[in-house]
Amino acid sequence: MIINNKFSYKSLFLSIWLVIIIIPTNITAQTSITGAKITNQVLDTYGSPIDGVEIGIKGSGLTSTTNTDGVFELAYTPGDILTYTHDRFLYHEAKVSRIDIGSGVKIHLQEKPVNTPGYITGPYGEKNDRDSYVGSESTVYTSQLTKSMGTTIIPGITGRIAGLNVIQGRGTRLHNTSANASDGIIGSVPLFGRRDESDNSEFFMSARGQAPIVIVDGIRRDFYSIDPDAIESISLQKDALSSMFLGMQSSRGALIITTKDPVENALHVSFTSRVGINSPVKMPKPLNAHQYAWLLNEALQNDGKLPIYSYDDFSKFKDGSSPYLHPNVNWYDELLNKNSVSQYYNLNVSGGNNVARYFVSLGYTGQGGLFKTSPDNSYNTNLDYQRYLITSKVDVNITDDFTANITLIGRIEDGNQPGGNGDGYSSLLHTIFTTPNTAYPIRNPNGSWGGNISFTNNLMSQTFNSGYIKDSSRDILGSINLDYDFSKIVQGLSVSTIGSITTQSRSAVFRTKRDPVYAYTISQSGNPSYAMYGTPSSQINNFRSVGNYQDMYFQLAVNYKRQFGLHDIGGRLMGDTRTILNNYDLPEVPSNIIGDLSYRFDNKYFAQAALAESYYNRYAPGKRWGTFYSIGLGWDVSKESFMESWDNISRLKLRGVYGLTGNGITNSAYYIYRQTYSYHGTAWYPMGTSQSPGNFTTENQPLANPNITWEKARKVNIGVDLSLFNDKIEFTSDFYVDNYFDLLQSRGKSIELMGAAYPAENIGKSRLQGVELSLAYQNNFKRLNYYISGNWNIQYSKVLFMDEQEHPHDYLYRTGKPVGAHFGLTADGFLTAKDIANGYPVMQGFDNIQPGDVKYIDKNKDGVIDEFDVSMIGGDKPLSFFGIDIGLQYKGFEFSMLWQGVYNRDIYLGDRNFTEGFLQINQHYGQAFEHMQNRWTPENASNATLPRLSAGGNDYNYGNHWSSSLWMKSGNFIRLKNMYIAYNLPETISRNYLSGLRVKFFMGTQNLFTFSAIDLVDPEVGFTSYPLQKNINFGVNVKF
Amino acid sequence: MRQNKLYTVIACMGMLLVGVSCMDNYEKLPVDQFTGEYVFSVTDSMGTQASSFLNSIYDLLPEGHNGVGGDYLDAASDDAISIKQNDPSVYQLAVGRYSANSRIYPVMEWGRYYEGIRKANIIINNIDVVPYKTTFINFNKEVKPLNYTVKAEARFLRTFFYFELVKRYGGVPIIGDSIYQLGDNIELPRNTFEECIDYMVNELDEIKYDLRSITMPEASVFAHAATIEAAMALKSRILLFAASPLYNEKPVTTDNSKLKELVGYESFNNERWKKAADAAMDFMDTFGSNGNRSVGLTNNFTEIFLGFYSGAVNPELIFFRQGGRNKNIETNNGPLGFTGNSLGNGRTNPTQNLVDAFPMKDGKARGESSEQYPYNSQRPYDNRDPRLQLTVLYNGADWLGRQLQTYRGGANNPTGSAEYTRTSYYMRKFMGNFENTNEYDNNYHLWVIFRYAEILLNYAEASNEYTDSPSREVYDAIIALRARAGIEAGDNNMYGLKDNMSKKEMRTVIQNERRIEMAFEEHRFWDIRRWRVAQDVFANPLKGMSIIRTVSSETYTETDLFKVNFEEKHYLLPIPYSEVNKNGNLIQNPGW
Repeated sequence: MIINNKFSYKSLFLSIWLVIIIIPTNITAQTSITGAKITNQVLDTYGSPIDGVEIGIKGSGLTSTTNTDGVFELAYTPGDILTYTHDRFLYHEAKVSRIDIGSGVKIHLQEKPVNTPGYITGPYGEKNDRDSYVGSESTVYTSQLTKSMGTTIIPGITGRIAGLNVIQGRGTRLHNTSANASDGIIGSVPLFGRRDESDNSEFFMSARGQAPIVIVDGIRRDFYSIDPDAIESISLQKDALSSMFLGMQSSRGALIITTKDPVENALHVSFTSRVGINSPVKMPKPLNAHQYAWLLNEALQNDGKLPIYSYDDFSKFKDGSSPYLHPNVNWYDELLNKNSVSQYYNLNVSGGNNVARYFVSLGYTGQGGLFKTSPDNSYNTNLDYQRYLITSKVDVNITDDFTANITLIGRIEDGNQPGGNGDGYSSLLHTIFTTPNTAYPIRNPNGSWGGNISFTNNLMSQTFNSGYIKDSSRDILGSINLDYDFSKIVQGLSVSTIGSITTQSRSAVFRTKRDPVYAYTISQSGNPSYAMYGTPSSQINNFRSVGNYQDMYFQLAVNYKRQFGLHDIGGRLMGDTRTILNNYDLPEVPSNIIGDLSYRFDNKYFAQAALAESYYNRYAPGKRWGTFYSIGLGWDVSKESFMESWDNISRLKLRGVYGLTGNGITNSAYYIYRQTYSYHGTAWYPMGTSQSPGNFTTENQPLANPNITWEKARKVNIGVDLSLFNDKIEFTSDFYVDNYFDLLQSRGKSIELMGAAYPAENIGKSRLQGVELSLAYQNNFKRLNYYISGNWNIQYSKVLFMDEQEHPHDYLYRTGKPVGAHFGLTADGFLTAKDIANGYPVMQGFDNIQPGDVKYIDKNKDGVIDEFDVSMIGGDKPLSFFGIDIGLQYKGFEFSMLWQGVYNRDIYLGDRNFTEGFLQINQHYGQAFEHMQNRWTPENASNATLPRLSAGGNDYNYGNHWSSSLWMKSGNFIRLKNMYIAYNLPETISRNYLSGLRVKFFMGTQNLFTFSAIDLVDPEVGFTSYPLQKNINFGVNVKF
Repeated sequence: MRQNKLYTVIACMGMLLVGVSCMDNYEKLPVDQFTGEYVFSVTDSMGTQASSFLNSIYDLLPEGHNGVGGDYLDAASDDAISIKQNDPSVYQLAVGRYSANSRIYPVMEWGRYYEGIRKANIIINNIDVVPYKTTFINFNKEVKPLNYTVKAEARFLRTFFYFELVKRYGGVPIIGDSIYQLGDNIELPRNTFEECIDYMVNELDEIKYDLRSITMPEASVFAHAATIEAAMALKSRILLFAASPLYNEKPVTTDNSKLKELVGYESFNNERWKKAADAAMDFMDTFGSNGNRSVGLTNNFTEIFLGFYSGAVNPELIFFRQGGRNKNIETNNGPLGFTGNSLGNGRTNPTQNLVDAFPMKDGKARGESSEQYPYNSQRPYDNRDPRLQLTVLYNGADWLGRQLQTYRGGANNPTGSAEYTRTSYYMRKFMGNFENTNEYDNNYHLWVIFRYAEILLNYAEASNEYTDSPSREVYDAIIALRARAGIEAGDNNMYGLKDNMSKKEMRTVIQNERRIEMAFEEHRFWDIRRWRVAQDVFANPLKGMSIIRTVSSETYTETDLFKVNFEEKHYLLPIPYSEVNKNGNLIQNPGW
């Protein structure tokens, strides 16, 4: 990875082009004839010896392997070409040269930039042999993760894992200050994808249409805010067999995060420091006051109302001569800074001997926000986030047969945000978005906060004069794995157990306040007056418990693994149980008994089968145990004798998995199988003349579903793995068909005469199928290593059955359409005066339809536009997403870039503040944006992209709640997600001047460029959310 | 050996699962979510949970104050419009932008009333297991265990919900006492209009002596409960609707013979007016001036809406939906242009059409008045029926210690970037008496569902329609209202009424009296439908007033706001399309 020599920019840019055209060449060297044994040492680029390098002589097979000191011994014949093969290092071959002769010669191997270790880490840290793995999997390692900077690891895996679709919905985390549950806390189910214990509030992640379950070191936990430097690997396992350990939730697939393992060696210390600067990728462009006033007048006149502004007003808005009565405030400029700073520090230490080994990592991450602050405050009002994280892992060999691994992770997360309207930054951003530039001056002539009857809370005051809200989260995750090897009694038998305790406590402190605003007016006689609005309140100090989460896990497993000649047999019987306490709900107790058998013949044929019996205590008695199973087969064709002549193919493995998986637990709600009643002691209907609070007992809604069960899927995955030219090319392809059934949906005959809401029932069916490809090519040209790797995914979905009502037209049916298809009216330009005169079909009940209004297609030709003209307008194409990673290393220099993109994606611009503008805000009209200049006017009728303007809301042009294809836009984009440049000080310098300290300087960027099909908004993050951030960061890594 | 070990391990794992799943620190099922046996418990002699369940049904009574997306339902009639520009629900309702597929809540509720009916049925089916030891006294001074009234109140509320359905849709499916479960076939057909009316009337007749009467001793706790008075008032209203032209004389036209008996009676019968008149007269004879005099007209018109029943202060109140003690109505509907605790949002803007409906102070219509109270179009609010200033806030009216300025550019209707009143009027009714105070204060804001004035109007209308010419009692009923309103008696003591009016003339008087007496009380919207006059009413545009003030004078000009295209199909609401679609036996109303 690190090469101790100089570099030049010239060679860098040259080599990018060379990547494409270079043909792998062998390094040739002069030969000499001696005919004796050589004893050489193989080292990595740090000078550390490499254990287990296989040395071969080309044409005659394996002849030697390096020992722990990296030394090998070999008898050779002159002219032999020696080959060096190792999982972690690039294949190397060289003719035996004169200088190889004799001892003490060192061969340096280069680490593979695209790492494919010989094992795949399973959920409990077990290293499963990659050769015999028959499932579908994709992994990223530390080196790729650490290229990205962020408060979570998700940017580091975006675009790098085949099959993982990540869309960012918000530019920063949502501060969790209220319980994250769908309806109150009691008995409620936390929102999908945002379970209480999840710390991800920025990204939507799905793998094959499901949110994968996160496993951190064997323990289930939605834990994304974690130091990338403490992580060894993140592996996404998508097929039925590899996710069978999830039992009742095996449909969802697993994202397995493995923290770094202690390695037996001398003390190793690594320190990373990193500072980044963030700035928004895209901001909305509001109309300035003058344009706003002009267009609002136009909108009002279009609606037949009196215009508000006079010519005098326009000129005052334009020349700024009356800043208090004719303000022009760009709220974004006034309230937000251009940049914010983030920081990251990590120190990790590892070492140990053959009895005990340890890995300890200490990390700090801090991210600042964009809001302006005031020096008058003794406290911080800006948005910020700080995280302290300790990861420690200790492996102990208690006896030869008995090992223990102890993991402890502790995390403190602290957030801060401006008080805003009393509820933090989200509503503040929304108000900035909707408040027009003309609304009010920031301050009045007498220094008081500006405002008026409609805007009763000044935005600047909300930004730094309304106190602050702090939130914090404390996590501790401790686990112990004990492993006893019974091989002395029964060969191949071992018993292992895992125990774990996780607790999380989230809380928030509100110290908000509010100042009143004053509307400044000058009477006809010229006297100024100030009218107060808004209710002032002094600073409060409220504590709120957001969540308490506790998870205890226990697992006991019996493993058996033995080789009989060419037959390898493995078996595992595992039982586990968790007890989860979430706030004041009764404990959840998901448990499993899982059996797993594997068989391998001659490293050529592989078979594996798993059976899971899963239990969950919130289903009805008698319906709590479910059976799930899967079976997988594999065949490495390249190992067959008929393939021997195909030297360049080192692996050609065909594999297939079939299984029945489940997706339960989260769908059980809170004992929804019981019909229950709730009593509310102090609320609701008051009683009598005393108006004493009425007691209130109600039948809980919806009605009980006594048959509720987990959703299920039959999943098939067929894959090919191909490695060519000594693993220089690695190709993996997976084709999958996932048939989901028993999906929870409400029944078609949900007749309201019931008098109660119908529960969701297990009736829906849908299919998801797709292809995932990944291809990596890596090679070196002399000391230039380069690689290009990419993944491409496409997924087709289809609703197979939903209990739909009868519809009079085929195009109204959802069945048969893709899952998540968007329905709405089809817009076909704008109405002309002629259309209206000819009686072109319009919606009924609108009294003011004019030329320039949207023209909708009357699909059923009944002469009116209504709900029967709604058809599929988006989401009809198979979603496709990809990532391309290109990199090179030359001597001490590293460069890489990651492009990530999506196509066949549709987004609906549903925010009418943005698309329509001038919405009513109390007695005033709301913000409008620059793109509204493309509205329809009689002069601009042919070029208009927006309908005529309207003030206060025009449902007709916005689909009358049925959606309109006018606002369905392509969400395709490609982003330069990450670019990374690093320079490692040459080894000679570190050895001679820094006593072995190795130093690396690096620079990273995120979201630097975006090419998007839509120009109006960012394709991922809408304007009412915190904007997506561009980041440039600089750092240094020091290790010894 | 090996096998034994394996068995041991499996056994251990089994014990582990059993051990953990039976953790005895916690109850097995959540105790906060109990089942029906606990709600209607054989050991609960207080009936705590059952009474509490009943209370939850009262909560389903319609909330009229700003109840339709923040507006009064009357803002969907010709009496008012909403200040909101962004397509509020009442505007959509007014202009008829709704269909079977787009429901406007809460007016186009279908399921909500069946929810109420289900809840009532849960009580009706289960209440008898509760061994109430508490008693109550009914109208006949009989002492009965509390089960009787709990059950009867549930039946009253159920009837109330049915009537809400029937006045919207015509005949609807009658559930009976069934509580349907998941899996039951509930593709029920609609019952005929006649069956529905008979069912409701029969229910009310059956339960009336199981209810309390209004001067109940435990009023501090049960003042909101349905009483015999409420049951009889509901019966009066039901029979008045049943006799009205929309259901009796001229139902919505349809070719479908099945539909004919759903949307109204199949043939006209004038006797239905008599039944309606009798029901109202029965009420008056029992509780009114001919009866025990427990119910009557409240002297002070504004007091009706601000307090509970009181024989001395507010004898008019019969049944209401509870409202808290607050200033919600003032802050929602009070005039704009005040600040702080006087801030109003001017939600409801009465129309010029409503203002024009108020007669002059002598009870005569505008322009027909004597020289004593002439109508001056440039001083249009002088010498009017006193109810005008208790219903509408107009330019120059006293409010919060000031005179309102609703002229263009005035403090309560400024020009510039803000949208203030659209008609130059704000709503006054229901608000506390804040003419001369500095700021708003808390008041009780009950939503009055039945009051004695309606009984008088019901009687006057039904009796006038039944007979060839109005009887003396009809005159008396109207005169009683006008006298209370403060209209001058006149020399002939007729309060502005003419002698010997024809049936038709009297109909016009009664309909106008109903409109102004009960403005904003959710009557106008339904009345113009049941009278089948909505098409005529909406033939004229809704109007506002534009007031231009110069240094020396004010100029009043009427302005047109918008015109409503009311079609015949709008007389009945559409049954939700999805319901008709799912239920093969359910027939949609004509035109939808």
